[in-house]
Amino acid sequence: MRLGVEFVSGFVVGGLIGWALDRWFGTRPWFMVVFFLLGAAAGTVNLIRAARRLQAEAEASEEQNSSTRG
Amino acid sequence: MAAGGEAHSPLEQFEITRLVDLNLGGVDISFTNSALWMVIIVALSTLFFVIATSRAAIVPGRLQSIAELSYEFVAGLLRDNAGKEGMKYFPFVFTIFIFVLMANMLGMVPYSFTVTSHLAVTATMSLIIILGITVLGLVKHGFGFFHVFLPSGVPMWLAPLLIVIEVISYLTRPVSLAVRLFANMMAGHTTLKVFAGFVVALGVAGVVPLLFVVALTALEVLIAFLQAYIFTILTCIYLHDAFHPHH
Repeated sequence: MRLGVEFVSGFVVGGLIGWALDRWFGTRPWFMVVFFLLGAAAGTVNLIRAARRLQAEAEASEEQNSSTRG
Repeated sequence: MAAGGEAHSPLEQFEITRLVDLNLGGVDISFTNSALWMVIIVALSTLFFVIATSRAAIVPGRLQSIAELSYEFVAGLLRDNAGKEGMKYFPFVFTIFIFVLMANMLGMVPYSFTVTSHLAVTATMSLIIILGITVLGLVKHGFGFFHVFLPSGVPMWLAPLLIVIEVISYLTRPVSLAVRLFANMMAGHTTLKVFAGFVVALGVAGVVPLLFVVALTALEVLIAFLQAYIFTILTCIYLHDAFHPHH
């Protein structure tokens, strides 16, 4: 759930920006296509960052555990 | 159909009802059940902390330990994720944590209304947070804040593409912050009501879904806390960017 939202929101925001720009310039569907892809990239970036954060947290708590045990 | 003659939809719990009709210059600002619960949340949490800290002792009593524990918890989150500078904004982050936690937990009380299961509420909170942090970053760093959008060590020919991607990524923050909380609360409460409906509909065999509901309720309490925690920790992480725009 946590990672899924990060990923999907990239598509949603990218698509919305493209849709708004298309309405503005009357260039349907080109901006939407481009920004949907950019949104996909942004979603992937979000996903990687969130996953890294989770991993760092997991490693930190692991270290804490081993240091309190040892 | 449904036993008892009344058909209750599992989504009925999310209905907004007007308690007091108010109109200000053509804008509908009626006092709704959602607003009432928000007032209850604020009043209850204020009351709790006033009572808990009124007789501060060196050896804390039960209430005082809860207050101290929640302080330590949020202070630790903020220090670890936003750094020392972030501690200045402790009151803000603490308020967010307590508000979301109380909203989620009071939502678990039967017949109550879950404020955070409405996108309007969570979206407003996340927009205020992100806008506030953006303004804070701009005030602190001026134009330098836009380094958020350009990771260091990127070749120049890639910069235009990356800046667009980073801007979109930045704009997803309020969306994911709001949707995560809203979706979790809404989905959880709907599932609970659906299973509770099975209990009535299945008669004697309803014992099986009843066990499920008991287990799900425990899970929902966990999620109520977890979502408040995630909302807070993400606020701290975003706050970190306001102080350190360089990745």
